[in-house]
Amino acid sequence: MFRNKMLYVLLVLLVFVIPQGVFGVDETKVPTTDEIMQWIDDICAGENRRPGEPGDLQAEDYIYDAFVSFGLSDIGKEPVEITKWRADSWSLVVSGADGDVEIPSFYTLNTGFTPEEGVTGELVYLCGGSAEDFEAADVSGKIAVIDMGFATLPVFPLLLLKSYFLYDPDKTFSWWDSQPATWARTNWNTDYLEEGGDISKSAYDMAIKEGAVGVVWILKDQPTNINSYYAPYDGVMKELPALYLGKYDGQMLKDMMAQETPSATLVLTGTMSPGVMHNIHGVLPGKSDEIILISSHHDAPFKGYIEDGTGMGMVLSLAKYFSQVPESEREKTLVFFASAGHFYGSKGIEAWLEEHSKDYVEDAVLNLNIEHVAARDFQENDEGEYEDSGLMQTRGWFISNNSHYRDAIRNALNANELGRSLVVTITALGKEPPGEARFTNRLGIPIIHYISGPTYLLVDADTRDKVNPDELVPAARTFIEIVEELSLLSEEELAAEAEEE
Amino acid sequence: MKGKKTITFILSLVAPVLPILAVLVFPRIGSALELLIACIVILCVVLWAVTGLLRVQEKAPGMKIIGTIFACVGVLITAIIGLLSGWTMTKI
Repeated sequence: MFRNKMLYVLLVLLVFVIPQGVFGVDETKVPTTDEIMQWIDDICAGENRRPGEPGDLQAEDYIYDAFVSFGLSDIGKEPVEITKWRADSWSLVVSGADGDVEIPSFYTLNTGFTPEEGVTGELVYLCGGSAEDFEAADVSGKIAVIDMGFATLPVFPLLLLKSYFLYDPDKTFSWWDSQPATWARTNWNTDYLEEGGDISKSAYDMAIKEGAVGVVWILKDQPTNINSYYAPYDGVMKELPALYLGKYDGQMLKDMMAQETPSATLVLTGTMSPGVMHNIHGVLPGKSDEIILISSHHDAPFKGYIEDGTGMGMVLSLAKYFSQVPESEREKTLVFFASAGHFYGSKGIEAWLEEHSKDYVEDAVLNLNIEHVAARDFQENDEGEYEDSGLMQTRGWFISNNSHYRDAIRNALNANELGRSLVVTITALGKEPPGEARFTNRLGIPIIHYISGPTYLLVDADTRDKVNPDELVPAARTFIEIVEELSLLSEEELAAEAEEE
Repeated sequence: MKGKKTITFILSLVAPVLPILAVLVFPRIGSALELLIACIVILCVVLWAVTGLLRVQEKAPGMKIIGTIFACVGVLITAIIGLLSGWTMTKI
């Protein structure tokens, strides 16, 4: 009888108490919504956080100070030299039968500067700027007008072919939903930079080859008439001046060009100067030398609340939480990393991984990379303005092939109800996952890479209203639970298996 | 008998539309189970209709051929949608 009672007690302990003790999040240690939001507000205080610019340097100091205040050890602030490209003035003035008309425009990052008076030439419309479009028109000495297309990601095929599972308890996805991918340009493929690249996929390079004096991009797939598209951000300085037009302004230009052959003056002046950005990291030692690397990037094109204020908010949340856990209870060593220069060809993380190849990288058993958290979904309304759809952005979890990761994520999602989560293979969108985690993935470090892709990410609409504060604590708890659960596993158990074809 | 022939013929004719209607009724990925059940019901109904149509003794070969073709198309579409919704269920 006594034996049976003991068995019952043990059973109850096993079922309820022990799992809570092992994976349970200590709520008293989780930062509050106000605390996380304050970090995000402080990081996003500047006008922008472009690499090497004052707003980003200020954010670097802020993150460094936060790591110090949490009591992290081996805190590093490591410089990476860059060339700062700054546009001073830009305009597009079209001369037609009705006189001169200035069309609102925005500079194309890292493209060539013009003289003060600009470059003038006849406008030539090239549709999507394919090789055939260029063959059919003479652009030599002229300004090429090209529609810029973005890829779209259909949810249902992605779910069937490339995903492990979907967590969507509210049934928000329809069979025909798709996600516009504003970071994936269909006709300005920067792969041409790699040896043997095919420049016919890059309308910009075709325009250079054919002797154009400038390029005017029409952002036909960017919702609203916004023209402040900050891309491509490969950190490569380019020779041909280029500007972006919002889709409605672009349509107006196309309508003008349908009636006459106007010329235009394109102005883009600015400076290039040496600059420096900094990677920030800090360490929380644990019982094992095996490292879980928890990362995001701190730079942004504009205010960057979602890109990547909330990502940094999560890194700080986890740093603060685990700094309150005694070292004797931390199973793994945790390295918190805020990378620089995501908008400079990810040169920051590349430099850091090289610099720490013999310490942190060698001992890393997992990289949890967090980008674009708590992002509200905004769609274009009938007035051509962004409007909150009432949904959260689709969350992509790109994970290495390991059943423990899937289980840990599923448990954490269920516990914290982070719906609209699509857990996919690391190759779901191509050879590599998007975002910063592709660099750790290249080194063979298993990854859990959280990312969402709202269409306002790369334009100046990424403001405070895009953050859902109610999601910050559940999101932080989700990541904490995943780290706690996976910390208990050995390096062998955390290793990634080959993906199934 | 004539009434049954008419019903089976009409059901066979609308068979290709039924699975599409089912998708419109259950437009959410999260409703894969409901869609799968709907597809099974549609398959049963269409198969009953087409066998019923073929068994009718009265001579109407044109009606039988047209009804059978439409029913086959309906069965094919329903089977594909049913399979996809079943596959989806393994992912949600």
